[in-house]
Amino acid sequence: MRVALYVTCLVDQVWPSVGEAAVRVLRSAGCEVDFDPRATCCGQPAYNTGYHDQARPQARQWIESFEHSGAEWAVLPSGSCAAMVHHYPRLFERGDPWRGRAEAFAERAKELCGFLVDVLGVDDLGARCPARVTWHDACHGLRELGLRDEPRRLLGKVADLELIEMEGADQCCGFGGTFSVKYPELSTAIVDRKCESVAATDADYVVSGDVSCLMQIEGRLRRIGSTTRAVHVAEVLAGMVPARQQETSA
Amino acid sequence: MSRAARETILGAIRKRLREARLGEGLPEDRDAVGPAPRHRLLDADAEQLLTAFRARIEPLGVLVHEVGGLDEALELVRARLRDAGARTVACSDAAALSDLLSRELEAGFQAVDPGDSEALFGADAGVCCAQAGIAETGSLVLDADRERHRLVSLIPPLHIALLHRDRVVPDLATALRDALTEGRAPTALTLITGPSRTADIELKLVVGVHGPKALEIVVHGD
Amino acid sequence: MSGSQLPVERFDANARDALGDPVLRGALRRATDLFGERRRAAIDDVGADDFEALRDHARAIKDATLAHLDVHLERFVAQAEARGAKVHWARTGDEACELLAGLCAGAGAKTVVKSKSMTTEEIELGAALEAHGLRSIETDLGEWIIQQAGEVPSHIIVPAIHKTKAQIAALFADKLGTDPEADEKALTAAARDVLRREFAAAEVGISGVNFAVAETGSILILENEGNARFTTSLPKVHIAVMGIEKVVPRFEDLAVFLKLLPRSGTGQHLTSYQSILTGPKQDPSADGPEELHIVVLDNGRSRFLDQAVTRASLACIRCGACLNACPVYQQVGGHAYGSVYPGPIGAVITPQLVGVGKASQLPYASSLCGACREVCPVRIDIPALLLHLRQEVTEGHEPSGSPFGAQRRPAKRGERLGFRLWSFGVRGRLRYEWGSALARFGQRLVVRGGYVGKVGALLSRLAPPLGAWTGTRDLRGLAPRSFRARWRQELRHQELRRQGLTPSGGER
Repeated sequence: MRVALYVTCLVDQVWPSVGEAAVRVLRSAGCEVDFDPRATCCGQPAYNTGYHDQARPQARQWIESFEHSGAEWAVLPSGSCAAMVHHYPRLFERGDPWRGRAEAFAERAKELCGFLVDVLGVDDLGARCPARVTWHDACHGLRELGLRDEPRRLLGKVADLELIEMEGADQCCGFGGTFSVKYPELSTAIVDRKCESVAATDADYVVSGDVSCLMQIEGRLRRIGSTTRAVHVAEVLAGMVPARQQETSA
Repeated sequence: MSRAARETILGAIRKRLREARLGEGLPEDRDAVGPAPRHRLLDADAEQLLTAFRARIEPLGVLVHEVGGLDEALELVRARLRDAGARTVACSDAAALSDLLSRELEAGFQAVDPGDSEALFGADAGVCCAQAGIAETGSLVLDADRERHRLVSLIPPLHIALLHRDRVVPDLATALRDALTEGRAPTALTLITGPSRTADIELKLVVGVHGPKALEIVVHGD
Repeated sequence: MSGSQLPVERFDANARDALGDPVLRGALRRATDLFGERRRAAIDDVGADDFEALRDHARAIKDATLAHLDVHLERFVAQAEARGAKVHWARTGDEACELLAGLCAGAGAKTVVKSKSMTTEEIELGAALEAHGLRSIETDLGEWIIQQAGEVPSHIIVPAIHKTKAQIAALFADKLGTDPEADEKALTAAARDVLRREFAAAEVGISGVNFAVAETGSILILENEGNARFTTSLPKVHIAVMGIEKVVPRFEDLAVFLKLLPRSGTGQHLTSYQSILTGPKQDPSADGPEELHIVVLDNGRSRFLDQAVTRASLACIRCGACLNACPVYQQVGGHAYGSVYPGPIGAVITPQLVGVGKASQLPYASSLCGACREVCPVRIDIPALLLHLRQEVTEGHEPSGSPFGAQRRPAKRGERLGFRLWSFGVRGRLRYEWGSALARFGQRLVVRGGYVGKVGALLSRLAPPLGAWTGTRDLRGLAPRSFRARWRQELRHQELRRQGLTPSGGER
């Protein structure tokens, strides 16, 4: 099965190992993976801040990219950007041909965990991760795409991985895109509560499906001196996450 | 002023809805909405309804007594009033309670007129009948066109209500439907589910903030 | 006597103040956690599937009613009048206040008792009545506490959620002479005594309306305390104030909303009392008011009707579930919103009522997490509304004849320029790659060991959005090599090898 991978701009520039992990995971699930460097950012920062005129060219860029890819599915290692693609039709008026194209794209756009479990029917990727981990439900994956069981099923099959549910796993981390810098104190107060829950699990890693949430949680954990590290679910599924003893001795 | 306001408001509503109709379109009217989800208690028998009713209301601190006939019910009410130390008692004008009043005097209670609000503020207890009970919610249904109990059930600190066991209906929708007479609603229909309560101070439950501090229900009927 | 709201224009400053109040935040956390838990338990009790079906049904009723609101309102009014109620219409809050003051004067009122009503808070009725020389007494315990303190409510369901027992005990000791160590039972008992005297003395009772039934001309008021029953049955005159959106078509429809509202709000399966009132008393020997007036208020609501996204905000039944679920509300409480309507629903209703220019910060007072939509009993897509209003703030134009024509939208020059630059940078692949290369070079000033830490944070203050992040959080820097570079150099070729092809060197 041919899939077009949209790694998202944050993964591309800030956390490329997630993209690499997604490639490995998709290939081990039997997919042929394509990546189009012409697709840059999905446009979400502008869209969510109210600048639709600036988001629209990005929607067109991604729609065209997918149309040219000839792939069956578009896969994103981000619930938030996948949800943005689902919002694309709202950027175009009724009757605008782009609206139909946006709808067609949205139907084929899937978040990685959802794609593996719901489309491919795969939950065991043969990965191993000897660590205590806790899962953070990124809001858009959870509430816009309905992904609750999929990542847990996938993590459940990872060898030697101990999943400890934190209290309020489905509570927002306080990132919220430009919210995190428009209201920094508030955003930090919200992530503090998340960090409390993470700390209570005594996990080696906090795992999530969105790099944006991970940057927020990681950023605060590091600042308050926590030793818990943040990793993306794709990295876990690709077997790229080391046991913590290895890391500390390395 | 109000007449002009009426025309302005209705005009604004119509204008906006016309724009909506031209734009994205509007849903059909209420009649196109199907029936509400059916409640499971609609298939229950009288015994099950009463069990469900009690299961709902008792956790709220309401005492429910089950007795046989009306005489037995009145006897129990008198006993409960005595136990509560009630001296002045307000009783609604329900025919079923007329006997309670007369014997009450013998029993040393002082009767209070159910319509005398000043006197009601000094009453220790109020007694009335409920027109129905709702199994789904454990609620009493009081229809003010059938009985003078609007204040009796509100002002005194103890409220005792008689409920006939055949009058327990399955759910809210049934109770509301039954309350209409040829499409006409009673002047005041009051649903009562437990004592007056508040949690406005640090979310700590306190009963009897404005209305009754205690509610007791006497279920009767052979 | 009544307090005033914080400035709606300054959510940022209001929120910062709230975050600095540990007592408030402790109270908020306990309250919102408790209501969240109770709500979940109350839903389990009906069964999740049944509850979902009820939500769908309730929303379908609201949608269908709002789509023909004029018809249902007129029917409601005709039926209420047929039963002897006097119906008055008010276009604005001021008009409603004048009307109500006139009705009170007509009743010869000196003291007015009020039961809790968001709509009367919205039009600031209490202050208006006092300006007309009337004593206006809030009778809901929480509202009364707030009135004694000279403050404004901070939660739709629990107005005094922000006050501790100790603060209330001190307030009562000052106002009523009660024991400053009194517990909640003693405080409640003290309020009961005072308010019973007010109920007995008041000539007029003013209430809100939770639902108005077109079929029968009835109004429903739900509560737990019994103060609304006193307000609507003891004074000679009862005046009910309702927004135009409160109408439901059928008497039986009430059952659906009664199953949803308390479960969503306080987690009760039903509140202690529902008063379903139809006209004043007809029989002189019956209990209840001799006159019933119903004031139907627009105050900007009709403007929400033309688009599906804004029309949805009129489906709100004021349960407060979205407040309790909101991570922002949980941290800052209701006052920060500077409006009677706080929390997520307030962030969408307030700008529509007072203008997006004035309340331009509120649509941004959300992380768009969607918890509000998840708990809303009538499934209002609050995040979609927030996005719609954000676009109104940045790109909208006030239509001619808008009451907010004189309001200026914030210029947001820096932000606008930022997004234009960003858009230029991400629109083409080369620009994006060169731009990120430039950033990679530039970040060497502040990135140490892959992150902007405490040290880099000092310098990053010079770039405001960056500094806003790094003041409290480390920031992962751009990776030395991007994913696209790795793709070009290694990953893509692995794929080609898998397919038995050799890299051609060409790129798409």
